[in-house]
Amino acid sequence: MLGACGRRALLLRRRRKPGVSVVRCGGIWIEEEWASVLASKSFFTDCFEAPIMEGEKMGQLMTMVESQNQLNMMAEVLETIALRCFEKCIYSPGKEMTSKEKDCSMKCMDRFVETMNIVSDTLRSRSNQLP
Amino acid sequence: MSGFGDFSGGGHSMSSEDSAQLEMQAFIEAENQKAAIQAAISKLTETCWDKCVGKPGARLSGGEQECISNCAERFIDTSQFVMQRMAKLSVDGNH
Repeated sequence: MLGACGRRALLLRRRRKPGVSVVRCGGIWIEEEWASVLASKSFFTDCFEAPIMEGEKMGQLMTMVESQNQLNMMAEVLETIALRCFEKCIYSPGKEMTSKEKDCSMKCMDRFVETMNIVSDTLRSRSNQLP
Repeated sequence: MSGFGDFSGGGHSMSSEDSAQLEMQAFIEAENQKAAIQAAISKLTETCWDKCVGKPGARLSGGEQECISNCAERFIDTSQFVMQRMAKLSVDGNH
């Protein structure tokens, strides 16, 4: 259920920068500096609630952060693969991808993932050797 | 191993708010570390890919696989070398 505060906060949330501290406002996290501005209006007083951290809410937040982190990492890997395979497989971009380019990109993706596995295995085994 | 929240030992009891805060901090730290490790793996993969892999084939050749694993090993050696030398230089500099 979104009150005036909730709707307003949703709008503000899109501008949220990483590393900016946030507070809860009507069930939504918003930037602290904005919350204090909003709190000066009487109908936004709930914006100054301390961050609610009871078990269930915290678990939800953790799950959200974890899956977002997962998505970010995945997106980074995909971006890297696309860039590297573009370099390797597309020499002179035509009107569309040729079947050769698609075949190359497919192999490239698989080989890149293999490469990543070798690298991460190597890093893991070396970090296990540390005293 | 005990969970994040078990910090109440050691004389003073902690409010549930404090321990929730600590649990959250530990969690965020762990997530950051996950991302940092993944970023390091990605970066090194790119470097070794550029150094070792030619035209992508049906599989990585034996030579390519060896090159990649050597690449990762030598990268770790190099960063350890750099760190040790830097530490030595800064110790020597203090005398």
